[in-house]
Amino acid sequence: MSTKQEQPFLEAKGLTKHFNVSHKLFSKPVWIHAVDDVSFAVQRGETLGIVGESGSGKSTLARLLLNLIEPNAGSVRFKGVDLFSMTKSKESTFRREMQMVFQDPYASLNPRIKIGEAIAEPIRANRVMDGKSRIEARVAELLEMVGLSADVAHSYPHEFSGGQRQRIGIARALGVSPEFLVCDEVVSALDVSIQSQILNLFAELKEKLGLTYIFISHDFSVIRHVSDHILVMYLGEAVEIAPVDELFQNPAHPYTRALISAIPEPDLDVASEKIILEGDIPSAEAPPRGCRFSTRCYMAREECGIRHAEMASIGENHLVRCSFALG
Amino acid sequence: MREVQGRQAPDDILIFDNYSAGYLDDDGHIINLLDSLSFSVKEGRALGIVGESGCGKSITGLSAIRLLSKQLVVQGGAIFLGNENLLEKTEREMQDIRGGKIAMIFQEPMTSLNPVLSVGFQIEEVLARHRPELSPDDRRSSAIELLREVGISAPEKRVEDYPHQFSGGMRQRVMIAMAIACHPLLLIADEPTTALDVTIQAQVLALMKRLKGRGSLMLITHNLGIIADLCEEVLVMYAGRIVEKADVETILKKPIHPYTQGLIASIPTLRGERQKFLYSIPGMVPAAKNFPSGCRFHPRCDRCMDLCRVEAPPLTKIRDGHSVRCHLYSGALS
Amino acid sequence: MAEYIFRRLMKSLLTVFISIMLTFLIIRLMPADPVSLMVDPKLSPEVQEQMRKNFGLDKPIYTQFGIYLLNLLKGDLGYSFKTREPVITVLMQRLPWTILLMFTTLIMSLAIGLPVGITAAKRRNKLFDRVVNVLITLAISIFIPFISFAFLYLFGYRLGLLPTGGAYTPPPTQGFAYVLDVARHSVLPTITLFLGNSATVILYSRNSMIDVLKEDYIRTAFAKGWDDRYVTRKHALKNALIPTVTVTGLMIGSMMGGAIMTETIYAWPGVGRLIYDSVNAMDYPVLQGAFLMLSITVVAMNFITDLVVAKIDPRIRLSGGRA
Ligand SMILES: Nc1ncnc2c1ncn2[C@@H]1O[C@H](COP(=O)(O)OP(=O)(O)OP(=O)(O)O)[C@@H](O)[C@H]1O
Ligand SMILES: Nc1ncnc2c1ncn2[C@@H]1O[C@H](COP(=O)(O)OP(=O)(O)OP(=O)(O)O)[C@@H](O)[C@H]1O
Ligand SMILES: [Mg+2]
Ligand SMILES: [Mg+2]
Repeated sequence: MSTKQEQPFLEAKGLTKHFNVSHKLFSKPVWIHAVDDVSFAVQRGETLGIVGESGSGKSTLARLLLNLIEPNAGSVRFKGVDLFSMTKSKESTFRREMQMVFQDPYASLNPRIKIGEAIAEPIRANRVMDGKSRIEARVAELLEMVGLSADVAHSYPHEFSGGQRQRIGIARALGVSPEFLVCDEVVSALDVSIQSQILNLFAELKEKLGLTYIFISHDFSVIRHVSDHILVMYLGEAVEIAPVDELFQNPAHPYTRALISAIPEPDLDVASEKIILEGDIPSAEAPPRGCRFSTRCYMAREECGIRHAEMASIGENHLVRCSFALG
Repeated sequence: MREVQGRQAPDDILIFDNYSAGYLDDDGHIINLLDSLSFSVKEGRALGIVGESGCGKSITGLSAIRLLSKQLVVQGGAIFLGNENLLEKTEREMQDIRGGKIAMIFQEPMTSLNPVLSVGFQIEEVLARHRPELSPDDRRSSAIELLREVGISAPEKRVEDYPHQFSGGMRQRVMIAMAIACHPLLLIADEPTTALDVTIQAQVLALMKRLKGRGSLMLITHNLGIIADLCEEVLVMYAGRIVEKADVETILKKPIHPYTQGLIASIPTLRGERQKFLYSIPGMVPAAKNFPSGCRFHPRCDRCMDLCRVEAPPLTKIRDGHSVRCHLYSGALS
Repeated sequence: MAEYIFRRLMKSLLTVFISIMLTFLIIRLMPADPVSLMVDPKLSPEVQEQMRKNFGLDKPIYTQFGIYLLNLLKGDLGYSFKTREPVITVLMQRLPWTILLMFTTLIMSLAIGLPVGITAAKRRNKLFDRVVNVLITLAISIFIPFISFAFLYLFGYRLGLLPTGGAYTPPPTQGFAYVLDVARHSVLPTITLFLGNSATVILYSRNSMIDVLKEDYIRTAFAKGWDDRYVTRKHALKNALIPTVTVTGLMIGSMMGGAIMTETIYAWPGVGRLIYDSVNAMDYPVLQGAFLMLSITVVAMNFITDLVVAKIDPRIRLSGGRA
């Protein structure tokens, strides 16, 4: 989706991750196809939104991008450098430049460690700066940047609400001045009024710090709000990638269309015909043969159950994985 | 039965009349949660209750079938089913109503079914309780019929299966089958699709839409989109109080309470111009023990006045079917 | 279900095999000469030599193990140093007494422990529950010899109500009188064992019942209009039984430990007492046989527990135990 002359900020090619989940000693391995052959590129300063239902592989993809787990195949190039084949020393700089924010940072905050300490920890670990007072000043600056007052540094995690904890998680990720932030379901647990505060915070930080985001959510309206490009995932595969407005004007993959139409909108004037998909999402243990969506697809033909479609371009920066998608 | 002033037209199925409830804290004090709720569910209509987490939606629903946990206490008011005040009923009489005249389904389909009993048994159980005249065979065939009705394929085979053999969406269908088994006057659905994936949610919503009109529906959700999909009437709650109630058109298009307006403006949409920033209400929902004085929304309100800090606004009728609890409209200004 | 049973059976057999191997190895790894541990030194040299051959003690260790296994299959566990009888005969004489003691205790613990635990859970923090809690704490922390001697002193010597030892008054009588006599003898040992075990049953059934009563499906059952009794019986009980049964199965092992002490003090002629006597007499073949028997009993009981749990829990029954 990138234009050739410019090197993408982050580029993933054929990323694949299969988990072996057989628990029995002497039985043959059972593979979960968590992420299968996913490729995309993100330009500096842009936001790529990744949307998909549970189990579609969004979190696994995020962990692959940050080199937290090893892929079975594929590569990630960050600013032109291959992440998987770089030297240790280089890796640590890259680790610093890419940070992740999780759904509930509370789970990753030690309940007995004060907030200030928790935020300072990655700063120390990455030797971004030293000196107690300098770090304290930085923590105060970070807290204010995410809309908390500097004196909460002395409080413990349990004293905070969901939205505040999310702000703390963001402050923690920003401590090492990353250029690239992967946000995995960061607003999913929040109420609408808090969700909008946090989304605004992300928008503000992006402007102020020139950040590049990958934003993961199962909520299509959130994804539409934050993204420049959108990647739709189904059962471990990318099924459609397009710029946000293009995707909403011309959704090409039957799944994308169904997903958009399935969202209940607080708007009485849109009398859109709902596409109700039948059946459940198949297990990633044994994804359907041929097109993975074919078991639920309302447009499926016989060959869909046999032939596996590749990503194909149907317009500028618009890729879709469907043999019969209308361009 | 007692006749109470302010009772509405006879087509009201369920009426909350100035109902208040609170919980007992560790020191034995009662902390108010629900404050003077007055609303009604009309026959054959769907009422949506919307509000953010912790505003008392679930407690309101559970109050209607009197299944509140032990720490929760009723502080006053009445809840009428037809002409009968449910709060005056004995536990025994309530048992005849639960599952019979009023049914309820819950948010968590994964844990709301008993793992060691077959789904068939769990459906038949409702019939056994409320329709003792049915023979076991009749109950079995009704259960199969109900499963078919909620869209479970091969129901005669699935009826013997156990909950863990069903996906989340199918379990919620089973819950719905259980709830409609005895043709209740009122179905209370507490966040019935929140735990489900979007495409599965759409299936369940379509099912609920198909079943609509058989009885009344009280739909509890934090998602205004679902309300728009299913409901005619809407109740917006904030911190245990009704802040605005009206028909769904009014609430979505011309809300007048600052909270309702803010809530709607905060939601990212699928259509129209994308704004860089969303509207956002500052602050957060307080916990029950910290509910502020006066209007409970005043610390977050951008139109807060001195009066709002000290005096709780009354529920003011703007016109028939549209009421709001806000000093901007209470006549206190004039 | 069949797959599940098969897998559990295999697991049980593997465990038994490992315990056989351990008992085999322990004797051979002892610092003393294994020959002197397995062949009675008081026998004549010719007979000793003969037995050495029988055990294959002159052969390499894996051949010895093979012979050992073969003998086991034939029921040949060697001969007691003390009585010169085959070990298997000695064990078989003692086993019924231990089984009698254990089963009575187990049944009593379940019959009384379950209802008490469940009632306590339903009356949580009320008087009944508090009293039960205190009693459980007491019963679990009781030291068996201490309570046994207290019982013996009180009921045996001071009040003279119950016999002070043995399983019957020799010489054994016939018919009903004999049964009554045995029953009188078993009262104190059974109660001693019952105290600790019923406390465990009460504790687990109470706690799991409390957890189950908080589950969403209990609320669903109430929302259908059923009353408390029905919901407890139909919905809560089975679910609360799952952890309780599992724990009861695991309890069998510790019950064995308790049985050794109890049988010793009350001179109850079971396997526990036999172990105590054999330790004193350095009767290694009997000890070896007794330990083997104990481990097989524990494994068998755990297997039965697994079956009971699978019977209750469809998630295990239908998924082969992977859930
Ligand atoms: N460590 C792991 N071991 C085995 N399987 C895994 C592991 N992590 C993820 N999976 C499986 O891989 C698939 C994709 O999981 P992933 O968490 O990436 O999905 P997701 O899109 O993030 O879903 P959600 O919306 O629920 O967060 C799932 O089927 C999941 O069960
Ligand atoms: N037993 C209790 N003791 C103390 N507080 C309680 C108790 N039960 C509920 N509450 C409080 O009552 C308030 C309302 O609870 P309720 O469950 O009705 O909220 P809700 O609107 O359904 O929220 P959600 O969207 O999270 O389900 C919450 O603040 C909750 O903490
Ligand atoms: Mg995820
Ligand atoms: Mg709720």
